[in-house]
Amino acid sequence: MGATPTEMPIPVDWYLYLSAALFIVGAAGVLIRRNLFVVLFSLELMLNAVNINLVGFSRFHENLVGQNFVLFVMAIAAAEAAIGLAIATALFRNRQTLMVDLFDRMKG
Amino acid sequence: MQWPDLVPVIPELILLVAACVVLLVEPFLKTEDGRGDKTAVIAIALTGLLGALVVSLALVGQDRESFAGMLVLDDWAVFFKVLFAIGAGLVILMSPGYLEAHRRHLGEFYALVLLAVVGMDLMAAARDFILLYVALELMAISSYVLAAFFRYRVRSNESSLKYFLTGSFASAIMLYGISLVYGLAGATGYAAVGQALGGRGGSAGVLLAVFLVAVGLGFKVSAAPFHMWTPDVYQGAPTPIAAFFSVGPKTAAFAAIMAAFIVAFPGAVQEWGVFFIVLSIATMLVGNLYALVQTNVKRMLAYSSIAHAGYLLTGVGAMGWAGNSYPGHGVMVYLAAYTFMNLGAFGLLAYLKTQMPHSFDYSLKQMAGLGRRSPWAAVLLSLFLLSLTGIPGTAGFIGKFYVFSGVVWADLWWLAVIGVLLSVVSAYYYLRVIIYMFFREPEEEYEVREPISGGMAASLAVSAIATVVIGILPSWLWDSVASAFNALFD
Amino acid sequence: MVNPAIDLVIQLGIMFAIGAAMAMAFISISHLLSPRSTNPNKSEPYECGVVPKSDARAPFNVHYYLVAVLFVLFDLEAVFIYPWAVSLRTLGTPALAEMFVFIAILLVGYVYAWKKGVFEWE
Repeated sequence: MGATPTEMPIPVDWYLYLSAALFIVGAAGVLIRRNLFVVLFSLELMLNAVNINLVGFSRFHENLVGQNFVLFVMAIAAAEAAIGLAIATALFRNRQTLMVDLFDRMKG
Repeated sequence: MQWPDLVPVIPELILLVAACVVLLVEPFLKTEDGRGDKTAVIAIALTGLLGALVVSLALVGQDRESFAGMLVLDDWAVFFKVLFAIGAGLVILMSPGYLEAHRRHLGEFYALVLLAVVGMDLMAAARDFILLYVALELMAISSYVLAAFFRYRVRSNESSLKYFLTGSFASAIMLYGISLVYGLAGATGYAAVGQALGGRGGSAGVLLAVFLVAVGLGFKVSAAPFHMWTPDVYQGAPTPIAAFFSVGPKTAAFAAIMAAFIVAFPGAVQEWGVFFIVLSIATMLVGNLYALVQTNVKRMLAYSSIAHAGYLLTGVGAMGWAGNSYPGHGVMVYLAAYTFMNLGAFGLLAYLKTQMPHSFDYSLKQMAGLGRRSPWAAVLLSLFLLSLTGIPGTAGFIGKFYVFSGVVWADLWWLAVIGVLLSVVSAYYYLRVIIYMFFREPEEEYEVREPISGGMAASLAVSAIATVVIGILPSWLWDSVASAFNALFD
Repeated sequence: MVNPAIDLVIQLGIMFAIGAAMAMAFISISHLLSPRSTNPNKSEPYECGVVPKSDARAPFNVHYYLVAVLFVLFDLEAVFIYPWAVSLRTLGTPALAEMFVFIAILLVGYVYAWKKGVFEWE
């Protein structure tokens, strides 16, 4: 272990690979999965991939802007989840299903 | 820590307080039938918007920043704050009648509109990607709820779901781009990013980051190929809300695109210029061609709003292509003109719906005979549609003229030719509605409910007057746009 | 001396291996040592008490939902309070005032939800 406090023990590009992988998994989930709840999970996954990026870069640049940003992203992710669940409840009451590809009343 | 300078956010603070008061007052308003009299709530909301408007106008000519440079107060921000306050005021004026007709008149509606306006104001005033993201989400989350406002209608639910899924997907993409920007620049302020990235504009990392941010904001302005949600969302949402969506979030996203891309990505102007030019061509084509085949007027207006986003994007692309802000002047003029004419057109559909709450389905064939049924409505709708077409003497012509002359100024005359040709195509679907209104016999007699509510009349009148005034006397608008751009570049 | 990053991965790998081994050890030891009975009642969800009648995945009262969503929202606001609390001494009075504003805005939401009857269980 030769890591001094200012040096990153894990290089920043590893965080990038991890977050890129998570982001792609999330994006694919949003585009492919049919169940609304799984789509919501996937959206959260995308936001958390961003958080990993921000924290990694924050350490890399040795400033706290990225960590600051993460707090806002977390709060907004919670708000988005709450709205998503509320919309899901309203839809389920009216349609008794949560399969997104069945919601096609409007076309053209 | 210093006390923050609150002067730049006084309009937003007024709106925020008004929204909170609405939320606190709303649960206490109950009458015998349990539905309550919403006059007090509407008065609070309008007072808040009026206050924000007056304060914004009083702050013209200021130049200060606050919250560690996260947001600024300059003529640029004031221009958009005034535009948003007026637009939201018109939406709130036209809403009560519509909501009453659907028996779903709740005070939360007004609080959500006010909060969305706070988000849009901050998007225009933001000079930092963190604030840009937070403001964008404040606007977006309020919009998702507004789209679902008719909770027991499947279409309203579906509209909200589609808006929510595409909107949060887009903002996640934009956020990933922003995280890369932060990684490359080590800062999130536009100016600091611009300084850090200025020298190495063409590197792959910068281009990826710029591309992702552009895609995310492209969703918000419903640029093709990211426009899929627009027609469904506008068709399913309550009509005053569709009117709001078509002008508010779009204008805010354009404000954010122009400020962020010019200040933060000066090293990659050519690249994002080309990207927006490609988007604009696709958007104009998709919007105009799909609008041709619509038989539902509300859906046609949704596609037409995509087409207008395309015209606006030509100006944004020309800014990048020329590496100069001058073509952006036309974009801002167009945004002001578009706000009034599109609010007017959607507002008239809301009015027709309140006239016939049960039978009107926004279809083209029900527009037949409107010229005789309610001549004033037909005349006003014709005015707005002619303005959307871009007939001289209306606001739409002035907007298109300035945007396309900016595009030509940037040596992109072929792009302007495409835009003008597609505007000619658009005349077909706008004028078709006018022909139905005045020259077609209705297939059945409709039972019409009068009278028009005062708020809706006021809203339509203001939109119509603004459409004509901008069309005839555009110079004051041009002057305020010029001072806004001077403020953006000091 | 190997590359410190790889070194760290090796250390992490060893930690994961030990963790997994310990978890498996606990399960298998209790499996080997514990006394067992083979009464069919053992497979019931509740050994004593009411026999379950229907699927556990029944629809919940929508009130649970509202409370859960509100919990998520109010709970997450704590992420802003922690860093504030840590740095309050250096930030001073303006930060204190800002937190009061923040809490006041949250309270508006709380009072709204309360008045709308979210917390009432009939």
